[in-house]
Amino acid sequence: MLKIENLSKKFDEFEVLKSVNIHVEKGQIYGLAGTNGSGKTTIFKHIMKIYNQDTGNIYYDGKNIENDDNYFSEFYYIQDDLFFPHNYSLNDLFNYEKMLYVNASKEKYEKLLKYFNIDSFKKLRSLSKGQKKQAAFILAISTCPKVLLLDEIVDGLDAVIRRKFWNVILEEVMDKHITVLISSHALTELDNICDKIGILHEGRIVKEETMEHLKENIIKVQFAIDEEFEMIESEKYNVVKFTKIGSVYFAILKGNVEEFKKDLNNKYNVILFDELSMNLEEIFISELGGLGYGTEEYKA
Amino acid sequence: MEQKNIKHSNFLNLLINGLKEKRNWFILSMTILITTVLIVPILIGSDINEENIIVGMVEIFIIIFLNCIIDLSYLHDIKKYSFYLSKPNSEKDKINLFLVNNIIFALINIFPLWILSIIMKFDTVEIFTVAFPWLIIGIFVAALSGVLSGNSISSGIDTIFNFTLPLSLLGVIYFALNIVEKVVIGFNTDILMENFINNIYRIDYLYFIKFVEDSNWLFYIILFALIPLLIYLLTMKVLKKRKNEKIGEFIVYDGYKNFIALLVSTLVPFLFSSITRNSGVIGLLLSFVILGSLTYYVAMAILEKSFKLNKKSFKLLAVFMTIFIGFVFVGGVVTKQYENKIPNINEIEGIVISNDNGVYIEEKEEYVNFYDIELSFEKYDDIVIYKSEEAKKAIIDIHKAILENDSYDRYANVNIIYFLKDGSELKRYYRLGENRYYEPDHTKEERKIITNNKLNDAAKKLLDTDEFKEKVLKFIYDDSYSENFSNGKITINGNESEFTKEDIVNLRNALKKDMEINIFEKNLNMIYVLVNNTENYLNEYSYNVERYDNKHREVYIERMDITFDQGTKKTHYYTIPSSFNNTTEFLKKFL
Repeated sequence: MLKIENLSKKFDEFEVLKSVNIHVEKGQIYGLAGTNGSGKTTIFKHIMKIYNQDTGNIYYDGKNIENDDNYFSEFYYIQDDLFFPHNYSLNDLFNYEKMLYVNASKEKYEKLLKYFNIDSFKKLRSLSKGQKKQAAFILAISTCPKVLLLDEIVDGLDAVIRRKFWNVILEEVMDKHITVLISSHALTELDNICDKIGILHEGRIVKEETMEHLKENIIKVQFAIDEEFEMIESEKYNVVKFTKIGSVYFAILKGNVEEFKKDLNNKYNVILFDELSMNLEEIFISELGGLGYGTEEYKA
Repeated sequence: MEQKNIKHSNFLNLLINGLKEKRNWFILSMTILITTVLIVPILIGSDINEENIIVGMVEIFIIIFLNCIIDLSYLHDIKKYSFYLSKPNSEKDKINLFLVNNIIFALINIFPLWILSIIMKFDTVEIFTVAFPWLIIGIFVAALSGVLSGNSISSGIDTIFNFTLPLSLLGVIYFALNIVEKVVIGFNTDILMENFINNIYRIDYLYFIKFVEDSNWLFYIILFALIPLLIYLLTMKVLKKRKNEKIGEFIVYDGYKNFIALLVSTLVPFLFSSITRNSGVIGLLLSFVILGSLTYYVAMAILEKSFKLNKKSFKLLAVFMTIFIGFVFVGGVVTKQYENKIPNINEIEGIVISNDNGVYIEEKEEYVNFYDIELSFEKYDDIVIYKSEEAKKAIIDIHKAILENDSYDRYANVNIIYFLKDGSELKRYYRLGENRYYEPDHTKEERKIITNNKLNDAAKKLLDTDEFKEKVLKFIYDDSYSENFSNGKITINGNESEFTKEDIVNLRNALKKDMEINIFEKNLNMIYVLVNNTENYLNEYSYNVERYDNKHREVYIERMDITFDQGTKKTHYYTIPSSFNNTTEFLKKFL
């Protein structure tokens, strides 16, 4: 559906994107998680041809978008830093967008207005930051896009509105099979909604996997041993992180957890052993910790 | 394919939407126009005339300029840019909308002025001939500048810069030729620039000024279509490679930054050299290198918003300066080959020689630059084109004397145009001295320069020709001209008296005698009076020759005007030197 291949971009001498590869399938919700300044927004702007890449290609439905602008009518991009034309109300803007998007639906627009309870006659510039995000979201969904690009859309919104956003997105994905590419720092929420995740760090995709696969491959275990312990090592698994709280040890593992359990039992008298599911935030921190972007403790 | 159709049908809707958004601007501009063009003139009791139309036109220019800057502001704010350009409305569509929208808005604004001009029967065709293309092309230039610029203020400045770019380039060429002028004797930047502008770099057509006098409407339309088309194509080319990540900077194109800085780095030394006009070649080149480098650095530092420039920028400056100096050097070498060229007498149809840079032609009621004089101008009394063999030979000798002796200080002008039989022209310009050399405190050395014998001998030869006497001193020597005059008026130092036909004969005889005694029979420094083809020949004589000879000036009559009305009014005026005994004796009865 949407494929980014070896996308690289330099801003003067600074390399913002380094051979980025992203694959988004139709009807998928793809979460783009990344550290601050990792290049998430830059990727969105490349998809919308706001920036031109130095190297690499972007394909939509198998076609290279470089010489094809037709895909614009099927995409809707909500940027992190919102802009609305001066003196426009939401109604004015919807009428303007109706001229651009042939599939724009008045019915859906009105339904969303009611759902979010937004005053569509009010000048957009007089709305709060959260209301502006809702307005932008209403417009985006009303144009019935096939691909929705959301750049940190829920960040800064209250829990109720965030839940409403996710409801609408999930409904659109299920009903209309739209594809969503979303960047956010709210990793817990991405965890709940995304089918696939790409972790971006310093302009490079360090991990891209479906949520299911991602969680299968990385696991957190807790265990207790009544003797002196030294971490075991094997080629069959890799201990990414290891901590001890009280008498309980915690380890984040990549690879075969059963082998780890077996080795542990062979060497030590294990009193307790539990597998804990990891959330996206933990996976994110764990992945980036290995790249020198860890959460070392601060000591005053 | 489907999308293309969608866009096509959207264009009109978006255009109408854009025009609706200009409703308030239209109300504002109409209010301003009605107030300044109609109401205020009526209130202050003055007539509504062409000047009010010009005022209205200037106001429209300002309004359209502001509109362009505002409409293009989406190119200068990444938020706006992302908003508009992420929609099914490409960059190209957006620029097209901007152009059509603002052209229509400009037409709507200009229309009432045009109607008013027709109703009031104003002769404003010239104004509209120039202003209309300026306005439309200005919109295209604004679009190009908007794309090149990274913020709205620089976009506005850049629009003016790009609109005047042909003139700035002319300044650069002028500066280069100005340096060549210092190397090659007889070479004149003004002449070459004039030829360049008249034959190659048709800036008068480019700015549509030529069409005011030359109503070639087909060419006008072609040019009016061609210039915007070229600007449009360039805009589209630039748009494709625009670096939007640089939005917010002054200029989003690195190469364009260097172009601006290089142009400015040439224009600043040029402006400085125009202030200090007497600088030599080395001085000019040094000022170009030093001042140019400094200007370039400052310009680049401003455009880059950094005091640290990359090596590429400095390399570019070095290359440009080398090319510029190379151009000057090659230009100098090439031109130097023609420095000593004097046409063969058999090739010459006629010659004009003068130390004035222009002539007022009374019949045309027009001041004509010397180098605009054509062979056909010989019909005018104020233009003397020498055609006799003896006069031609004398002028060639003057020219040779100037070339052979380079000890002249080149300040006063000697301008020569050879009209050749094959239709071509050879124009030369020399500076031989300046008025300061006539001051009493001149050194002997300076006087020696002025009294160069070879030059004086050649000048005297020309003075002795009948053609000189009859054409330059028409009233005194051309019998066929003066015999037709009957009674007239003589005004001496402001006192008017009647003047009979007999007086004319007596005055002419007296002047003839004095001219022979005081000028033609003396071996004076003639070059400074010789080439003055105006009526005030004797004034030149009294100021220059007599003063030089006698160390102080003695004038009997400062100004004497003789006016005749023979169908057309003819006036001759002279300054009578005190050494003109016969003339002063005759004129006593009128004092």
